[in-house]
Amino acid sequence: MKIFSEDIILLKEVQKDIPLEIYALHLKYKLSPAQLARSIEKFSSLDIITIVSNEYIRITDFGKKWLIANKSKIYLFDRDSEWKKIPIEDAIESIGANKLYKVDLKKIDTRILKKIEGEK
Amino acid sequence: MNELPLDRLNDKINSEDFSRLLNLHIKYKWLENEHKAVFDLWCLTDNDIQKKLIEKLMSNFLHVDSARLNKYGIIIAAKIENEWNLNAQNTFLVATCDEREPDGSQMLIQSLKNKFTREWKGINFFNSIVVGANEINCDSNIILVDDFIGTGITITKKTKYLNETLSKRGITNYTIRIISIAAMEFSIENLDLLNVEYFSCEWLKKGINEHIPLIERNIYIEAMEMLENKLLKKHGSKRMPKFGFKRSESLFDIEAFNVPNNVFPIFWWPYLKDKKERRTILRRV
Repeated sequence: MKIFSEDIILLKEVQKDIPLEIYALHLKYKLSPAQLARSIEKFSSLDIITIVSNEYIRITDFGKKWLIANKSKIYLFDRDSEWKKIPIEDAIESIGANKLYKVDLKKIDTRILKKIEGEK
Repeated sequence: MNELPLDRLNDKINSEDFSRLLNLHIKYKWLENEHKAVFDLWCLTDNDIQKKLIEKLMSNFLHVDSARLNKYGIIIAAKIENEWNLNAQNTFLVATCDEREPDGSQMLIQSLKNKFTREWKGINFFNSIVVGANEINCDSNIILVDDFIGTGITITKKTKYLNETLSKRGITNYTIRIISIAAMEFSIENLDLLNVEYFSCEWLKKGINEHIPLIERNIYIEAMEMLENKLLKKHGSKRMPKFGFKRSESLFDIEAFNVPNNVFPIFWWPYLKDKKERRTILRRV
Protein backbone atom coordinates (compact mmCIF):
# COMPACT_ATOMS: atom_id res chain seq x y z
CA MET A 1 0.00 0.00 0.00
CA LYS A 2 1.37 3.36 -0.99
CA ILE A 3 1.09 6.06 1.65
CA PHE A 4 0.83 9.70 0.62
CA SER A 5 1.14 12.83 2.71
CA GLU A 6 -2.65 13.23 2.91
CA ASP A 7 -2.92 9.67 4.27
CA ILE A 8 -0.61 10.55 7.16
CA ILE A 9 -2.61 13.69 7.90
CA LEU A 10 -5.89 11.79 7.81
CA LEU A 11 -4.59 9.01 10.06
CA LYS A 12 -3.15 11.47 12.57
CA GLU A 13 -6.38 13.44 12.76
CA VAL A 14 -8.75 10.51 12.84
CA GLN A 15 -6.91 8.94 15.78
CA LYS A 16 -8.59 11.39 18.11
CA ASP A 17 -11.58 9.05 18.06
CA ILE A 18 -14.27 11.62 17.59
CA PRO A 19 -16.12 11.74 14.33
CA LEU A 20 -13.77 13.79 12.19
CA GLU A 21 -15.36 16.23 9.77
CA ILE A 22 -13.88 15.60 6.33
CA TYR A 23 -14.32 19.22 5.34
CA ALA A 24 -12.22 20.26 8.35
CA LEU A 25 -9.26 18.46 6.78
CA HIS A 26 -9.70 20.60 3.69
CA LEU A 27 -9.97 23.80 5.71
CA LYS A 28 -6.93 23.00 7.84
CA TYR A 29 -4.62 21.49 5.24
CA LYS A 30 -6.21 22.49 1.88
CA LEU A 31 -6.44 18.82 0.97
CA SER A 32 -8.37 18.49 -2.28
CA PRO A 33 -11.57 16.43 -2.68
CA ALA A 34 -9.60 14.03 -4.91
CA GLN A 35 -6.91 13.52 -2.26
CA LEU A 36 -9.43 12.91 0.48
CA ALA A 37 -11.63 10.67 -1.66
CA ARG A 38 -8.66 8.45 -2.44
CA SER A 39 -7.51 8.38 1.16
CA ILE A 40 -10.96 7.66 2.57
CA GLU A 41 -11.55 4.93 -0.02
CA LYS A 42 -8.19 3.36 0.79
CA PHE A 43 -8.68 3.17 4.55
CA SER A 44 -12.39 2.43 4.58
CA SER A 45 -11.90 -0.51 2.21
CA LEU A 46 -9.42 -1.88 4.77
CA ASP A 47 -11.91 -1.25 7.59
CA ILE A 48 -9.47 1.12 9.27
CA ILE A 49 -11.93 3.99 9.18
CA THR A 50 -15.65 4.14 8.68
CA ILE A 51 -17.68 6.86 6.97
CA VAL A 52 -20.36 8.42 9.15
CA SER A 53 -23.21 10.22 7.38
CA ASN A 54 -21.13 11.15 4.30
CA GLU A 55 -19.47 14.07 6.05
CA TYR A 56 -17.60 12.51 8.94
CA ILE A 57 -15.15 9.67 9.38
CA ARG A 58 -14.29 7.67 12.47
CA ILE A 59 -11.51 5.23 13.23
CA THR A 60 -12.65 1.65 13.83
CA ASP A 61 -11.48 -0.60 16.67
CA PHE A 62 -9.53 -2.60 14.12
CA GLY A 63 -8.11 0.68 12.80
CA LYS A 64 -6.80 1.63 16.23
CA LYS A 65 -4.97 -1.69 16.54
CA TRP A 66 -3.74 -1.47 12.96
CA LEU A 67 -2.34 2.00 13.56
CA ILE A 68 -0.47 0.92 16.66
CA ALA A 69 0.91 -2.12 14.88
CA ASN A 70 2.03 -0.11 11.87
CA LYS A 71 2.86 3.25 13.38
CA SER A 72 6.57 3.12 12.68
CA LYS A 73 6.04 1.99 9.12
CA ILE A 74 3.41 4.62 8.46
CA TYR A 75 4.98 7.58 10.14
CA LEU A 76 8.65 6.91 9.57
CA PHE A 77 9.63 4.60 6.78
CA ASP A 78 7.17 3.47 4.14
CA ARG A 79 6.65 6.80 2.59
CA ASP A 80 7.95 8.18 -0.65
CA SER A 81 9.54 11.53 -0.09
CA GLU A 82 8.31 13.08 -3.28
CA TRP A 83 10.27 16.23 -2.54
CA LYS A 84 13.50 14.24 -2.67
CA LYS A 85 12.91 13.06 -6.22
CA ILE A 86 14.81 15.05 -8.84
CA PRO A 87 12.76 15.93 -11.92
CA ILE A 88 14.14 14.28 -15.07
CA GLU A 89 14.90 17.65 -16.65
CA ASP A 90 17.09 18.64 -13.69
CA ALA A 91 18.87 15.32 -13.24
CA ILE A 92 22.51 14.91 -14.28
CA GLU A 93 24.51 11.75 -14.77
CA SER A 94 25.39 10.15 -11.44
CA ILE A 95 29.02 9.93 -10.37
CA GLY A 96 30.56 6.47 -10.23
CA ALA A 97 31.53 5.01 -6.83
CA ASN A 98 35.28 5.27 -7.39
CA LYS A 99 35.38 8.39 -9.52
CA LEU A 100 36.94 11.56 -8.27
CA TYR A 101 34.67 14.48 -7.87
CA LYS A 102 35.74 18.07 -7.93
CA VAL A 103 33.33 20.79 -7.03
CA ASP A 104 32.78 23.39 -9.72
CA LEU A 105 33.37 26.46 -7.57
CA LYS A 106 31.84 28.76 -10.12
CA LYS A 107 28.49 27.07 -9.71
CA ILE A 108 28.32 27.52 -5.96
CA ASP A 109 26.07 30.24 -4.72
CA THR A 110 28.42 32.10 -2.38
CA ARG A 111 25.90 34.59 -1.09
CA ILE A 112 25.12 32.41 1.92
CA LEU A 113 28.83 32.26 2.83
CA LYS A 114 29.09 36.00 2.66
CA LYS A 115 26.15 36.33 5.03
CA ILE A 116 27.73 33.94 7.47
CA GLU A 117 30.84 36.07 7.47
CA GLY A 118 28.69 39.09 8.22
CA GLU A 119 29.29 40.72 4.87
CA LYS A 120 26.52 42.94 3.57
CA MET B 1 -6.19 3.44 -8.15
CA ASN B 2 -3.83 6.21 -9.16
CA GLU B 3 -0.41 5.67 -7.57
CA LEU B 4 0.79 9.20 -8.16
CA PRO B 5 0.78 12.04 -5.64
CA LEU B 6 -2.14 14.44 -5.96
CA ASP B 7 -1.86 18.17 -5.39
CA ARG B 8 -3.54 20.11 -2.66
CA LEU B 9 -5.85 22.95 -3.62
CA ASN B 10 -4.45 26.45 -3.77
CA ASP B 11 -7.56 27.92 -2.18
CA LYS B 12 -10.24 26.82 0.20
CA ILE B 13 -13.66 26.04 -1.22
CA ASN B 14 -17.01 26.20 0.51
CA SER B 15 -18.46 23.24 2.35
CA GLU B 16 -21.24 22.57 -0.18
CA ASP B 17 -18.93 22.47 -3.21
CA PHE B 18 -16.35 20.44 -1.32
CA SER B 19 -18.90 17.85 -0.30
CA ARG B 20 -20.28 17.50 -3.84
CA LEU B 21 -16.84 17.24 -5.40
CA LEU B 22 -15.81 14.71 -2.77
CA ASN B 23 -18.86 12.61 -3.61
CA LEU B 24 -18.04 12.75 -7.32
CA HIS B 25 -14.52 11.51 -6.61
CA ILE B 26 -15.72 8.77 -4.26
CA LYS B 27 -18.34 7.52 -6.75
CA TYR B 28 -16.27 7.78 -9.93
CA LYS B 29 -12.71 6.84 -9.15
CA TRP B 30 -11.54 7.35 -12.70
CA LEU B 31 -11.96 11.11 -12.23
CA GLU B 32 -8.98 11.03 -9.88
CA ASN B 33 -6.62 11.00 -12.87
CA GLU B 34 -7.98 14.35 -14.00
CA HIS B 35 -8.95 15.84 -10.67
CA LYS B 36 -7.73 19.31 -11.61
CA ALA B 37 -9.90 19.27 -14.73
CA VAL B 38 -12.87 18.14 -12.63
CA PHE B 39 -12.28 21.09 -10.34
CA ASP B 40 -11.98 23.47 -13.31
CA LEU B 41 -15.22 22.16 -14.79
CA TRP B 42 -16.92 22.70 -11.45
CA CYS B 43 -15.58 26.24 -11.37
CA LEU B 44 -17.05 26.84 -14.83
CA THR B 45 -20.54 26.49 -13.39
CA ASP B 46 -22.51 29.53 -12.25
CA ASN B 47 -25.45 27.99 -10.47
CA ASP B 48 -26.83 24.92 -8.77
CA ILE B 49 -28.61 23.60 -11.88
CA GLN B 50 -25.34 23.54 -13.82
CA LYS B 51 -23.68 21.69 -10.95
CA LYS B 52 -26.57 19.23 -10.81
CA LEU B 53 -26.24 18.76 -14.55
CA ILE B 54 -22.60 17.75 -14.17
CA GLU B 55 -23.53 15.33 -11.39
CA LYS B 56 -26.30 13.82 -13.53
CA LEU B 57 -24.03 13.47 -16.56
CA MET B 58 -21.31 11.82 -14.51
CA SER B 59 -23.80 9.34 -13.07
CA ASN B 60 -24.63 8.13 -16.58
CA PHE B 61 -21.12 8.31 -17.98
CA LEU B 62 -19.67 5.05 -19.27
CA HIS B 63 -15.93 5.08 -18.66
CA VAL B 64 -14.25 1.96 -19.95
CA ASP B 65 -11.01 1.20 -18.14
CA SER B 66 -8.55 -1.48 -19.19
CA ALA B 67 -10.23 -4.18 -17.05
CA ARG B 68 -13.61 -3.45 -18.56
CA LEU B 69 -12.14 -3.27 -22.06
CA ASN B 70 -10.71 -6.72 -21.48
CA LYS B 71 -14.13 -7.96 -20.39
CA TYR B 72 -15.78 -6.52 -23.50
CA GLY B 73 -13.10 -8.18 -25.64
CA ILE B 74 -14.03 -11.56 -24.18
CA ILE B 75 -17.74 -10.87 -24.79
CA ILE B 76 -17.06 -9.89 -28.42
CA ALA B 77 -14.93 -12.97 -29.08
CA ALA B 78 -17.65 -15.20 -27.57
CA LYS B 79 -20.28 -13.50 -29.70
CA ILE B 80 -18.31 -14.13 -32.89
CA GLU B 81 -17.24 -17.69 -32.14
CA ASN B 82 -20.16 -19.07 -30.14
CA GLU B 83 -23.25 -17.16 -31.21
CA TRP B 84 -22.48 -16.23 -34.78
CA ASN B 85 -20.54 -19.52 -35.11
CA LEU B 86 -17.88 -17.98 -37.29
CA ASN B 87 -14.52 -19.66 -37.57
CA ALA B 88 -10.98 -18.60 -38.26
CA GLN B 89 -10.86 -20.12 -41.76
CA ASN B 90 -12.92 -17.43 -43.46
CA THR B 91 -13.62 -14.70 -40.90
CA PHE B 92 -11.82 -11.38 -40.85
CA LEU B 93 -12.06 -8.60 -38.32
CA VAL B 94 -11.43 -5.26 -39.97
CA ALA B 95 -10.79 -1.97 -38.16
CA THR B 96 -12.76 0.89 -39.68
CA CYS B 97 -9.70 3.13 -39.76
CA ASP B 98 -9.05 4.49 -43.23
CA GLU B 99 -6.77 7.39 -42.51
CA ARG B 100 -3.09 7.90 -41.94
CA GLU B 101 -3.67 8.61 -38.27
CA PRO B 102 -4.34 5.74 -35.86
CA ASP B 103 -7.80 5.57 -34.29
CA GLY B 104 -9.83 3.72 -31.68
CA SER B 105 -10.84 0.91 -34.03
CA GLN B 106 -7.18 -0.08 -34.42
CA MET B 107 -6.61 0.03 -30.67
CA LEU B 108 -9.67 -2.16 -30.20
CA ILE B 109 -8.67 -4.70 -32.82
CA GLN B 110 -5.26 -4.97 -31.20
CA SER B 111 -6.84 -5.68 -27.83
CA LEU B 112 -9.23 -8.24 -29.40
CA LYS B 113 -6.52 -10.36 -31.03
CA ASN B 114 -5.67 -12.43 -27.98
CA LYS B 115 -9.29 -13.07 -26.94
CA PHE B 116 -9.95 -15.72 -29.58
CA THR B 117 -9.14 -19.42 -29.61
CA ARG B 118 -5.78 -20.59 -30.94
CA GLU B 119 -7.02 -21.16 -34.51
CA TRP B 120 -7.26 -17.43 -34.97
CA LYS B 121 -4.05 -15.91 -36.32
CA GLY B 122 -2.77 -12.47 -37.21
CA ILE B 123 -4.15 -12.82 -40.76
CA ASN B 124 -7.70 -12.76 -39.37
CA PHE B 125 -7.23 -9.16 -38.27
CA PHE B 126 -6.86 -6.07 -40.47
CA ASN B 127 -5.98 -2.75 -38.89
CA SER B 128 -7.28 -0.79 -41.87
CA ILE B 129 -10.47 -1.04 -43.90
CA VAL B 130 -8.53 -0.02 -47.01
CA VAL B 131 -6.19 -3.01 -46.72
CA GLY B 132 -9.04 -5.32 -45.76
CA ALA B 133 -11.22 -4.25 -48.69
CA ASN B 134 -8.37 -4.87 -51.09
CA GLU B 135 -7.17 -8.20 -49.72
CA ILE B 136 -10.21 -10.16 -48.53
CA ASN B 137 -11.41 -12.76 -51.00
CA CYS B 138 -14.69 -14.55 -51.85
CA ASP B 139 -16.66 -16.59 -49.30
CA SER B 140 -15.59 -14.46 -46.35
CA ASN B 141 -17.26 -13.25 -43.19
CA ILE B 142 -16.17 -9.68 -42.63
CA ILE B 143 -16.64 -8.03 -39.26
CA LEU B 144 -16.20 -4.28 -39.18
CA VAL B 145 -14.87 -3.26 -35.79
CA ASP B 146 -15.17 0.19 -34.23
CA ASP B 147 -14.81 1.26 -30.64
CA PHE B 148 -17.85 3.54 -30.72
CA ILE B 149 -20.81 4.18 -32.99
CA GLY B 150 -22.26 7.64 -32.50
CA THR B 151 -24.76 8.68 -35.15
CA GLY B 152 -24.10 5.67 -37.36
CA ILE B 153 -23.12 7.95 -40.25
CA THR B 154 -19.44 6.96 -40.22
CA ILE B 155 -20.09 3.21 -40.02
CA THR B 156 -22.60 3.59 -42.87
CA LYS B 157 -19.93 5.24 -45.03
CA LYS B 158 -17.41 2.53 -44.12
CA THR B 159 -19.84 -0.26 -44.96
CA LYS B 160 -20.63 1.34 -48.32
CA TYR B 161 -16.94 1.77 -49.08
CA LEU B 162 -16.29 -1.89 -48.25
CA ASN B 163 -19.17 -3.08 -50.43
CA GLU B 164 -18.09 -0.89 -53.35
CA THR B 165 -14.43 -1.88 -53.19
CA LEU B 166 -15.21 -5.60 -52.92
CA SER B 167 -17.67 -5.27 -55.78
CA LYS B 168 -15.08 -3.52 -57.97
CA ARG B 169 -12.67 -6.36 -57.28
CA GLY B 170 -15.32 -8.89 -58.31
CA ILE B 171 -15.58 -10.38 -54.83
CA THR B 172 -18.90 -12.09 -54.22
CA ASN B 173 -20.52 -14.24 -51.59
CA TYR B 174 -19.43 -12.41 -48.47
CA THR B 175 -21.25 -11.17 -45.41
CA ILE B 176 -20.60 -8.04 -43.41
CA ARG B 177 -21.28 -7.67 -39.70
CA ILE B 178 -20.57 -4.77 -37.37
CA ILE B 179 -19.22 -4.86 -33.84
CA SER B 180 -18.55 -2.08 -31.35
CA ILE B 181 -17.87 -1.59 -27.68
CA ALA B 182 -20.59 1.03 -27.35
CA ALA B 183 -23.17 2.62 -29.62
CA MET B 184 -25.81 5.29 -29.24
CA GLU B 185 -29.34 3.92 -29.25
CA PHE B 186 -30.44 6.45 -31.85
CA SER B 187 -27.83 5.08 -34.30
CA ILE B 188 -30.01 1.94 -34.67
CA GLU B 189 -32.05 3.86 -37.23
CA ASN B 190 -29.00 4.15 -39.49
CA LEU B 191 -27.64 0.69 -38.65
CA ASP B 192 -30.92 -0.99 -39.61
CA LEU B 193 -30.74 0.61 -43.06
CA LEU B 194 -27.46 -1.22 -43.71
CA ASN B 195 -29.19 -4.59 -43.62
CA VAL B 196 -26.30 -6.26 -41.80
CA GLU B 197 -26.07 -7.95 -38.41
CA TYR B 198 -24.60 -5.77 -35.71
CA PHE B 199 -23.62 -6.10 -32.08
CA SER B 200 -22.61 -3.61 -29.43
CA CYS B 201 -21.58 -4.44 -25.87
CA GLU B 202 -23.36 -1.33 -24.60
CA TRP B 203 -26.21 0.80 -25.94
CA LEU B 204 -26.18 4.38 -24.73
CA LYS B 205 -28.90 6.97 -24.34
CA LYS B 206 -28.48 10.69 -25.00
CA GLY B 207 -27.11 12.38 -21.88
CA ILE B 208 -29.87 14.95 -21.46
CA ASN B 209 -32.73 14.27 -23.87
CA GLU B 210 -33.00 10.57 -23.12
CA HIS B 211 -31.90 10.48 -19.49
CA ILE B 212 -33.57 13.49 -17.90
CA PRO B 213 -37.37 13.48 -17.45
CA LEU B 214 -39.30 15.76 -19.81
CA ILE B 215 -40.57 17.95 -16.98
CA GLU B 216 -37.08 19.23 -16.10
CA ARG B 217 -35.30 18.63 -19.42
CA ASN B 218 -35.46 22.20 -20.72
CA ILE B 219 -33.80 23.56 -17.59
CA TYR B 220 -30.86 21.24 -18.10
CA ILE B 221 -30.64 21.91 -21.84
CA GLU B 222 -30.41 25.60 -21.02
CA ALA B 223 -27.79 24.87 -18.33
CA MET B 224 -25.66 23.00 -20.88
CA GLU B 225 -26.06 25.83 -23.39
CA MET B 226 -24.86 28.29 -20.76
CA LEU B 227 -21.83 26.13 -20.02
CA GLU B 228 -21.01 25.71 -23.71
CA ASN B 229 -21.31 29.48 -24.15
CA LYS B 230 -18.19 29.76 -22.02
CA LEU B 231 -16.20 27.75 -24.56
CA LEU B 232 -14.64 28.94 -27.80
CA LYS B 233 -17.00 28.29 -30.70
CA LYS B 234 -14.33 27.75 -33.33
CA HIS B 235 -10.64 27.06 -33.15
CA GLY B 236 -8.77 27.11 -36.45
CA SER B 237 -10.90 25.11 -38.85
CA LYS B 238 -12.57 23.14 -36.07
CA ARG B 239 -15.98 24.07 -34.74
CA MET B 240 -17.04 23.03 -31.29
CA PRO B 241 -19.84 20.48 -31.82
CA LYS B 242 -22.63 21.69 -29.54
CA PHE B 243 -23.90 18.84 -27.36
CA GLY B 244 -21.46 16.62 -29.29
CA PHE B 245 -21.33 15.85 -33.03
CA LYS B 246 -24.88 16.08 -34.49
CA ARG B 247 -26.10 16.66 -30.93
CA SER B 248 -25.28 13.07 -29.99
CA GLU B 249 -25.05 13.92 -26.26
CA SER B 250 -22.77 10.94 -25.70
CA LEU B 251 -21.34 10.07 -22.29
CA PHE B 252 -18.63 7.61 -23.14
CA ASP B 253 -14.90 7.17 -23.26
CA ILE B 254 -12.32 4.42 -23.24
CA GLU B 255 -9.30 4.95 -21.04
CA ALA B 256 -6.29 6.06 -23.08
CA PHE B 257 -8.34 6.29 -26.31
CA ASN B 258 -9.15 9.51 -28.14
CA VAL B 259 -12.56 10.63 -26.91
CA PRO B 260 -15.27 10.63 -29.65
CA ASN B 261 -16.48 14.08 -30.72
CA ASN B 262 -20.02 12.85 -30.00
CA VAL B 263 -19.32 13.43 -26.30
CA PHE B 264 -20.45 16.73 -24.75
CA PRO B 265 -17.63 19.21 -25.45
CA ILE B 266 -17.53 20.47 -21.85
CA PHE B 267 -15.60 17.26 -21.17
CA TRP B 268 -12.98 17.65 -23.89
CA TRP B 269 -13.09 20.94 -25.87
CA PRO B 270 -9.82 22.56 -24.82
CA TYR B 271 -10.47 26.30 -25.31
CA LEU B 272 -12.37 28.88 -23.33
CA LYS B 273 -14.26 31.72 -24.97
CA ASP B 274 -11.31 34.08 -24.41
CA LYS B 275 -9.08 31.60 -26.36
CA LYS B 276 -7.28 30.50 -23.20
CA GLU B 277 -6.61 26.80 -22.93
CA ARG B 278 -8.47 24.84 -20.28
CA ARG B 279 -7.77 21.55 -18.53
CA THR B 280 -10.24 18.90 -19.66
CA ILE B 281 -11.28 15.58 -18.15
CA LEU B 282 -10.98 13.87 -21.54
CA ARG B 283 -8.75 14.54 -24.52
CA ARG B 284 -9.26 14.58 -28.24
CA VAL B 285 -6.58 15.17 -30.86
